[in-house]
Amino acid sequence: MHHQSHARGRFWKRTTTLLTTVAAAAALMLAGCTAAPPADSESTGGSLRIATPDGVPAAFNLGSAYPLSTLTFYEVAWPLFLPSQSDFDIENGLADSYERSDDGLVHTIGIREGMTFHDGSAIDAASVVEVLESYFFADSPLRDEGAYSIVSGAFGSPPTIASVEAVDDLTVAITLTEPRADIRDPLFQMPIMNPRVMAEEGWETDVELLGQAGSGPFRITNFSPGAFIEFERYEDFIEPVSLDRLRIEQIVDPAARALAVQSGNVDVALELTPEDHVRLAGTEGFQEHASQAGNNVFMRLLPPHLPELDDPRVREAISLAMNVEAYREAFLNPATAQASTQPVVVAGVAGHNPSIPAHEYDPEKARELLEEAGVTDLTLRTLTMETSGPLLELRAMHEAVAADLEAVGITVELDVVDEPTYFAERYNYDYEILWYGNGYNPDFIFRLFYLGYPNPWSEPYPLADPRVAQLVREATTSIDRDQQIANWQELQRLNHDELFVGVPIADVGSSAISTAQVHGFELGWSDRGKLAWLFQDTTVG
Amino acid sequence: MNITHNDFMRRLLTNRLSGFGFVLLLAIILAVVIGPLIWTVDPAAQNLAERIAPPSAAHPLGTDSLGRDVLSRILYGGRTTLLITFTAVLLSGIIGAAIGLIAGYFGGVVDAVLMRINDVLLALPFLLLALMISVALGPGIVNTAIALTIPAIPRDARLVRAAVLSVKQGDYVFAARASGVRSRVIITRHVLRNISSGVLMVMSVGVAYSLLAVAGLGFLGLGVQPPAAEWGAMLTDGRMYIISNPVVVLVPGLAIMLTALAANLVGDAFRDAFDVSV
Amino acid sequence: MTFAPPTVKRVRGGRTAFAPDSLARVILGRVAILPVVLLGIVAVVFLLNRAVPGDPAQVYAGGDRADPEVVAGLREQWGLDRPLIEQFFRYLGQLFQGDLGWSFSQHAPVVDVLAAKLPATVELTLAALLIGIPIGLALGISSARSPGSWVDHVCRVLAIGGISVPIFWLGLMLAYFFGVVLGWFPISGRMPAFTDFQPITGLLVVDSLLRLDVPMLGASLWHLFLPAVTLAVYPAAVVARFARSSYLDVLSENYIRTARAFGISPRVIVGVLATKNAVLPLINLLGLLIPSLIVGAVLVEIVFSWPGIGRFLLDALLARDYIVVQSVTLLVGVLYVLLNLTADILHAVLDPRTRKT
Repeated sequence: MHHQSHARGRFWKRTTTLLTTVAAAAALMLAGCTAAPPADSESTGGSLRIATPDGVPAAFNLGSAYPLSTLTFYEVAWPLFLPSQSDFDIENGLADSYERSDDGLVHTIGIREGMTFHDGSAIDAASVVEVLESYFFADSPLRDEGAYSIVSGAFGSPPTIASVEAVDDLTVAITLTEPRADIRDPLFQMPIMNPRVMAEEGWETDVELLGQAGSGPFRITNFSPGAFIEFERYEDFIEPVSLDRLRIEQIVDPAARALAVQSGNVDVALELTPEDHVRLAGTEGFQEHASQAGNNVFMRLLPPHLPELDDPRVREAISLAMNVEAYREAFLNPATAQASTQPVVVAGVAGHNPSIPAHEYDPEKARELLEEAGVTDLTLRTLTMETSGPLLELRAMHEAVAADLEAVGITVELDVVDEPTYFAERYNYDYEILWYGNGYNPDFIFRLFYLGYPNPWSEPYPLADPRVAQLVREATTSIDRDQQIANWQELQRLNHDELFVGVPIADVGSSAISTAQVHGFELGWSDRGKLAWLFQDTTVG
Repeated sequence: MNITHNDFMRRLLTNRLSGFGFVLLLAIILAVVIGPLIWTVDPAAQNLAERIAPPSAAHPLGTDSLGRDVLSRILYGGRTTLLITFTAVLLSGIIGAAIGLIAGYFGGVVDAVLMRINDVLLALPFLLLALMISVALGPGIVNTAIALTIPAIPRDARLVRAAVLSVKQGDYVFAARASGVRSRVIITRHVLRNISSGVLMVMSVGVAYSLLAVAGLGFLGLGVQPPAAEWGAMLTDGRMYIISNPVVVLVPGLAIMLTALAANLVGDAFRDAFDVSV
Repeated sequence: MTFAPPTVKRVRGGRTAFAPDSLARVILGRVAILPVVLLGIVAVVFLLNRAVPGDPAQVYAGGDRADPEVVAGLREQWGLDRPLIEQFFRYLGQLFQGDLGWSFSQHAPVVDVLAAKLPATVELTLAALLIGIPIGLALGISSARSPGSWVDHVCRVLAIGGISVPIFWLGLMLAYFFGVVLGWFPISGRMPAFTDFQPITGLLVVDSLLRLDVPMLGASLWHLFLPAVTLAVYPAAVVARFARSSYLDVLSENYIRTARAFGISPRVIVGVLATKNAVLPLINLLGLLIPSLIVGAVLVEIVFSWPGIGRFLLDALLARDYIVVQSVTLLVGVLYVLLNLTADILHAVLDPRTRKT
């Protein structure tokens, strides 16, 4: 019929137009994808693209909240001291010597000769002093708004620092008001940026200025806040660096991160879920990386509101009810997770007490203890975030713990909240699961756990025991390493034998999956889930 | 031309697609209500040794991240999710209708004020408002229901108000007044009769909308708290295993989608039956 | 007289058809109310944000390790310790000066952050609409031209499926299938690694056209494709359903039947008359769609690591970056209100019938 053929004609015409448009778009896209990454010029190092769960800041100001995007700062700007690649020792970064006076008050740092900032100016004592002062003291013009929690954590608030001075061109002296055995640990969380650049307005987000602000092996060439950072090798860096270019991309969702490395969009993906990690590690064309454990995951009781928790038998029962081995195997990456005997510190860190036996799981005994203590109707409240740092399945782990506690007759109420609510409300709950990143000097985390920070614990918390406070304070100001270690180990023993405040779950490290083209990629030990490594020997292709 | 009740019912039931929608919705509701009585596996029973397992005889839909039976959690979770959804839709319908009736009937200042508040709430995207209320109130079944009720009120209020206004303008009031009936009674009776199908349509679409919102909230970690099962939370739970074992994320996703689909089909059915020209 | 709820036949943003007589009154009425509504939006959002527990200062200051003095200092700096009323008026004052506030989570003025991230979302949304609307129209029209046929049923199921599917799930599935299994498309970011491209407007497609950079044009389209398609499903479905009912309505109207009776070709009928009358309500529909697209954009941006305001808004909400949430929600509200106003005005101008009762 007449209008049917018209209709058909229009149909074809519309279809043709549609198809042409689609074809044109496809052609363009093809042009786009083949025109993608520009070829690398001379060197054979290649370009490395890394997907991280976080670590791309909104801006590069020093005052950003802790944890600092340690990863990216270590690519741009080095600190004076570096965490070591493979053990809990310290390596020299911008510094090449470290001395401490006998009374523990004056710490002298020698700066390596011949290092330059990315604008070519020399890294000398004067610049280092300027930068350190901006970390330590509030009214330096270089200081941003924001928190300098590393400083307050290590040195208290106001900081127990009397002065920072340039003794000569390459020597800096930091004088304290309270003795410390070793201050390299907090210092390695303070990257040294170019003070001249930091004096400029808006340097924190300006790519041009950022490209001159660094002191590390890579210069920033491109930066999209919260999305990615791109670097190229800084040619005048004092040590050889093999990579030509580096790109750090933030992909928060773990599934998307796994997809990114699987599809070849990135060369390395950090911190995948245990399932994805295991699967890809066993897949052709991929390789796995795992660092030694640097984070301690534990459950701890918070200052009690319930009288039942005053009874050490009840607290011990809670510990006995938890099948920590099952949690470790279920929720943590088998490549990096190990059994833990104590909270706070991992094996190998100073203060770890080797004579503490493995955690005991005995729900029968737990029930007996509860009966003995006359506790029949205990309800514990806990809160959690969906994930936290290396614990991608934190909420699930909480649910598993709750199930184990219910099995011995303790009821659990779990609230899933977001980060700000967590920190504001946590002391209204009964227990929590958290993790501490370990460093060379665990002074701060021992204080955090045993002494209470910022305010010391008070009764009726078991940790308010005066023995505890004394052990901690002695260790902090002691300049005798052995005594420090002895005190810390004693604290661990107290917790295990008498206090039952912390229950160890696992020691966890960092993990990554890379494609087969990546060579020489190493994960250093991890601090608070962030990685610090140097890419010195990494090549791609 | 008036649509008779018989006409309406006939058109409602003879449309094939909408018939399918009704059946599907009914099936889903039956499944979540009766299912747990038949399939009696405990939805909270954990088994860490058997996490994220593929379907098997013991677990026809596999297990989730804590080794719990997915089928059982879908059924129980369906109860929670649908309970919240239907409650929110019903509540918003009732409150919205009340507001619309008051605004439409009294007119004037009352109308102006109520409608401006309405406009404000309408100007904010549904999910965003639900999200903010949920963050403000905190997690939990009741709070989530509230968070989903409030953004839905303005839509219903508008609808009812329009109906009231149209009736006010109509011949009913005039004729009825002439025979001595009080106008409030007139309006209520005629309005209710006339808006019933419009409201039903909006409410069933509202079900789909709210359902996706519950899932969205659960997905973002707000909403129902563990260990309670809920489809949105299951979606979030399973999303990390999308490659290792896609069943864990596929099943709640499908459940949400099918229910929303059914609700939408039902909504379409009401609209089509009402719409003379189709 | 039969009650015909306006939302059934002609979706007009839920508004009634009872506007006052003249065009001028319509416009004036709506515009006059605008500030009140906007103020209301600000107030609602402000109150909701402040009603929550959670201390952003402590998170910013380092959570566990936060020094309470620093936390207190931050709270003072951000004005968080002032009474609510004072904070509200302070915020209003800022708004009037064009200052949208300071985002502490981004460490930058909100305006700057929006300028940096908004183009990405705008590009995504526009692409989604450009893909979704034509497809939706095609589906809807095909449906309407043969109601009750298998084509109609298939299109309707597709459309209903489209509005029922959870976006995140869809996005991950598409990413997995097209990005990993087939490897045809990238699944993160807006442009390839190590690309040195200076944006002008922030809309990469537009910018590459402006710079006549064909490889860049291709690359940005390539990266845009999957996220845009994911986001386009919902609007396509909504438009399809709406177009179907709209066209059905119009096609059965008396004047259409009369035109047919007079032998005027159906091409003309559908093309001109039907379109003109069916497209009008479409403008209203767009006004409704755009706010929900923003919400959809949040989820798409998470899956595809797309650096837009959607994801940023969610992060700000969860980090208690109050100012950001207030300002962005206010903008969305303004956009919505303006769109509806425009739609209503256009409606009143183009269709005089709606001006009268």
